[in-house]
Amino acid sequence: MCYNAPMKHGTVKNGRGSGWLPLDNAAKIYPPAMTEGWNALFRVSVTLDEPVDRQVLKRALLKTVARFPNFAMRLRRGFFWYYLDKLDGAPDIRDDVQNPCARMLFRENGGFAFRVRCFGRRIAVEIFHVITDGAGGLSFLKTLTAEYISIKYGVKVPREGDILDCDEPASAEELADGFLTHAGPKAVPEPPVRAYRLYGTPDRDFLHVTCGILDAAEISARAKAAGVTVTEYLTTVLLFAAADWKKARGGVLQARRPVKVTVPVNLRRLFGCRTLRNFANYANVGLDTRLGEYGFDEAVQIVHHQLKLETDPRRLAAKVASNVGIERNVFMRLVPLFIKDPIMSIAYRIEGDRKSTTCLSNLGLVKLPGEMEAHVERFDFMLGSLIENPVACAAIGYGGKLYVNFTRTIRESFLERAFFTRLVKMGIKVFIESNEDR
Amino acid sequence: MSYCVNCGVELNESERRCPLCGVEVINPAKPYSPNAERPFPASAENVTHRAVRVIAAKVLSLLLAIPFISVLLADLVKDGRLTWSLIPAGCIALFFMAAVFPCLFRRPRVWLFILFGTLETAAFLFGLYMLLGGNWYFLFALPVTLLTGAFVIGCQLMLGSKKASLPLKMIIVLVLAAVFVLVLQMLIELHLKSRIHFDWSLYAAVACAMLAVVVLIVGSLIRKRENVRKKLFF
Repeated sequence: MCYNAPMKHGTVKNGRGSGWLPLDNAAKIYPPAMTEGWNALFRVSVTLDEPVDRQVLKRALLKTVARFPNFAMRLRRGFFWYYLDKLDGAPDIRDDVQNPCARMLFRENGGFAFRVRCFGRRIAVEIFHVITDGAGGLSFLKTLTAEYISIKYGVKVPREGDILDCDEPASAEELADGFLTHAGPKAVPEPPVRAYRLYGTPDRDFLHVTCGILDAAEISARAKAAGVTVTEYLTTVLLFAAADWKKARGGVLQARRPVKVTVPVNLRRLFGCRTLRNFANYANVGLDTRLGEYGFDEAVQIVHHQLKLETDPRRLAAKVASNVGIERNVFMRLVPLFIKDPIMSIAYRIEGDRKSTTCLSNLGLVKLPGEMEAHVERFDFMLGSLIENPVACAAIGYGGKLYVNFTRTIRESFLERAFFTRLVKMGIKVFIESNEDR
Repeated sequence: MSYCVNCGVELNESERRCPLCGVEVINPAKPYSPNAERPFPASAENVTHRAVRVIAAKVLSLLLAIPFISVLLADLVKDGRLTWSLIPAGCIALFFMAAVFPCLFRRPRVWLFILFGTLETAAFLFGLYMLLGGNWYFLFALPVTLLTGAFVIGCQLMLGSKKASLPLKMIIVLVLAAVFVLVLQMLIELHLKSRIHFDWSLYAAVACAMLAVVVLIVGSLIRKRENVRKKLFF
């Protein structure tokens, strides 16, 4: 039995990452699904007011990694499951590249499942999903930045919220698998409804990034006026963009499929959990355009109510229980990894992200203590390429701006164009930058 | 600051074209400067899939080396010289070349692989011809091999074309198939009976031609489907 493994394997005995960790429930699918050219990555980055000092960053990184034992780990194969094994030190700091979230080869990265990149004033952390999710990644980046600012400027940054104190050891709760402790009593799997799928000219080895910078107060005011959250408002705009795509590009075989957007839900707040590992689930919201046209005001209310229903803690606990049930299944546990590996890989490819047209992950508004705010100009969040869906969207707010990053592995920029031009038509100012070749 | 005239979004100074629609940014007040600060560096991480291909090529080489060496040794030990083993060894070499050649390419170039396979087969048959003798190679085996290669490459290029419509692709492939069977029978007849005569190939060619006509009609009907829908309304 390894369900409460963090408490058994010495990982938290000294708080410095000795021992090993079984993968959490959400992470289990990613190692079988990864290939030489693809693994599930996401990236959080911070832009400072001065060029980054790499020596200082290395020192800050060593301290931060020691505080986050789940980052100081190497992915290994066991006989039945993959697991994370303790690793000393921290990865080398690398130059940033034009194509972020390119596949990560662990052997090129000292065995670590995350990498830190630097470009001018920007520090970026690209993380393989086996370690943690977006909220855990942001906590790591904020702590790293706090540590960097403390060392560089000699200021004492107060450690509050998800900015952790690197002099304290990691607690058992921070390393626990939240899925196992918060699974509901009844397992209810999500109905397998296939969503409309975007397609285009594949460009898998180059992740096209288009960042739209919006005024956070303006978007927030619009959302408030509609009686919804910013995430719900943006999701509605994205659903309309996907519906525009479907209308313009069609696809005879997919005509009956609804457009759907996956919205990751951070379960920490809902379940009062402080884990630093994966602890998110998904809500799938959509518009069935077969039934007729929707006005924006109607759609935004539909999305609001759908998300409310989908994020009901009991419903989420039931979905978690369903996923945990698969992991706890005796057959799944007893089958050796070399058999399980290809089966899980194929299953993920078939079912992985087919239930949604695209994804919108919003990390929300980043709040920093004043000591950090003086040196931090911007935050960015982006998703690496998904297994099947070619376009993903991620948002983060900081300093009065909302940064919406579209990432895609196809050449066609139809979706982000439809998204941003719709905002422009609604009277919202959009500033665009990208990593396109000039 | 520059705006995209097509999308209405404000663009970063580093953007020469609008990333959303590709329209060039022309702002006489602020022309594009390649030295503008860019959000990402110019160098990209090179993502290669070479390792998988190299491993595949190595494993295949090892697996095929065992029967290749075994047959040659068995023949050599028994007879003291190489006789029958050259044929299975040649077959293994043929398979090896066909499987390893594509591993050298990052992107699949199917027409090139087929061309290489055709030439390889021709070379293998030439080896057999030198070993066995006879007059079958230049008059029959070589033309049939080249004809088959040309037919498969033609079909592949046609089906992979992005410009041609599906009905057009199907019509051309059917015409190619008709020509292929006619020339094939001509070569067989010339080699076996030293005459030109068509019988079975005519049936196949006529069937292909009729199918091509059906596709042509259906294709034109699809283009005029509104008319069809009107006529068949019930």
